[in-house]
Amino acid sequence: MSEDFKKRITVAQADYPKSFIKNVFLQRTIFFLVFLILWQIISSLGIYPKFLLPSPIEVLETMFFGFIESDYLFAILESFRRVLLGYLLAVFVGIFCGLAIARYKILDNTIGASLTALQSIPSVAWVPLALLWFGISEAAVLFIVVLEAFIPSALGVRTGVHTIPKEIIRAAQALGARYIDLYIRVIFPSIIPQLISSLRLSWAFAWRALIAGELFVNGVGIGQKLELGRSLADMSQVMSMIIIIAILGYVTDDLFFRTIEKKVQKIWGFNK
Amino acid sequence: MTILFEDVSLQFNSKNIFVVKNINLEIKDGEFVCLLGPSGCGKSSLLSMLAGFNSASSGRILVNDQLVKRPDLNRTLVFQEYALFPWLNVIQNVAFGLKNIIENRDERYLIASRYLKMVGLLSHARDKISELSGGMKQRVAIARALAVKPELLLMDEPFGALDEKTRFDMQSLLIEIWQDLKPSIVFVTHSIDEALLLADRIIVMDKNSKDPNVIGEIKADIKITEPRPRTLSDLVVIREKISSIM
Repeated sequence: MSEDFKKRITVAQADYPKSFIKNVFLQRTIFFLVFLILWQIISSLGIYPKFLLPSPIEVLETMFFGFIESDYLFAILESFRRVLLGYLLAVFVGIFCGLAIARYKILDNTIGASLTALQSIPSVAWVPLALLWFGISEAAVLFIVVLEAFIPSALGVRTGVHTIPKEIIRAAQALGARYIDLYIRVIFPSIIPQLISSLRLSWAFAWRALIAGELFVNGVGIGQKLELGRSLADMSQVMSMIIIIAILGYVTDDLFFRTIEKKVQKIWGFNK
Repeated sequence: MTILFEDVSLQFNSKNIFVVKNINLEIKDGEFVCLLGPSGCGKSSLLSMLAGFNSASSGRILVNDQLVKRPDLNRTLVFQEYALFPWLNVIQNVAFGLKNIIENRDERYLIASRYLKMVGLLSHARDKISELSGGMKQRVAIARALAVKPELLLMDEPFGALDEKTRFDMQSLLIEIWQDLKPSIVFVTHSIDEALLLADRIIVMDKNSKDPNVIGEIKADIKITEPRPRTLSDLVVIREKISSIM
């Protein structure tokens, strides 16, 4: 972003009348309160049948008893275990795949190009294939998660390696770093800022793939609870699960990854 | 360290165009040589061949009678864009090249701090790279390049990104260090004044006007015997001469 452009943005922002609430936390709280109240009103007007649009209080009740008396917590933990396993596998595969395609032009021309195509396939599209190959099992879910989540890591690593300034590599080579040493001491640390963003993207992909997979597979998990809610026409469970997915996504992405990302950017001197 | 270019040519990949052709050059031990010329005349190409990053299409480059094949700790580099490692702090950057020479970590840091002191940054040893100014970064880069005791220091427009005052300070510092440690220095610059202030010998390069298939060539090889520290007014005659060549 050019200096000039930044200046224009600040000027444009200054033109607006000062917001009467400056505290971001307060802004969000009020937004959600308004949203909940509207939802409550619409629901209690009775335009839609109760089983299609439960009130927020009912959803909250379901969630509360789900945690206290049912196995919501267990379902969440199981889903987390599954997604974490798939994610770690995906990142491991993705990083090595990325390093390989960054290193060898021929791999980039072949595998690298296919990755971009592969990325355009939504995870749900793999479900039938996974079910036939692995059966209605956890392996099918893991397959989908790995397949979805390794791509952003691989592409990110490739971009990261390609954007390392030539001088950094040359300086390191002249100072005696060679082969595997060069990878460990220079190339890998160089791509960390890019890698963090890719890991974040991979996580988001893994999470989506997980829910898509779990919808079709037996066992315990958020996706299964969602599907169970649908088959029992228990809309408040469906909504509870959607809210839980949103909250978990927000917590992991915004609180976990954003924090690391900011820290890394500070060390690398990106946000100066 | 003596450097010998014997009929060195560098060709673009699979094209019939030469970046430089039939370069012959000898650089003596401890000599401070400036490669002077406008951008795109092959100065940096000569430097990267000498460093061992590109190999000559024909001819050979000898350093201490050894053929240059790959980068070597004996020939380290300083770049215009510093090329420091942002994930390491100042002293870790300086100690980077010592890793493969010295086992003991404390010993590495001891040597690194000696060079940090030399460039006046000992008090910043634990700073992050992103906290430093441009001049300080270049000091770290110089300390890093010197810490492995190279016999040849290769500098590619190292002060090009610095403001005038900082550049002047850095030039004085470099002369001081060079007189102290006496490495050979090959210093690429496009500033006549910088070359005049620093070098024992200026190799003037320019775009080739005779042969359309060759991009750059050496136009002149000028010795400067004026004692240091120099002022530009002592060097008016040589300056005129170089200006007329370029």
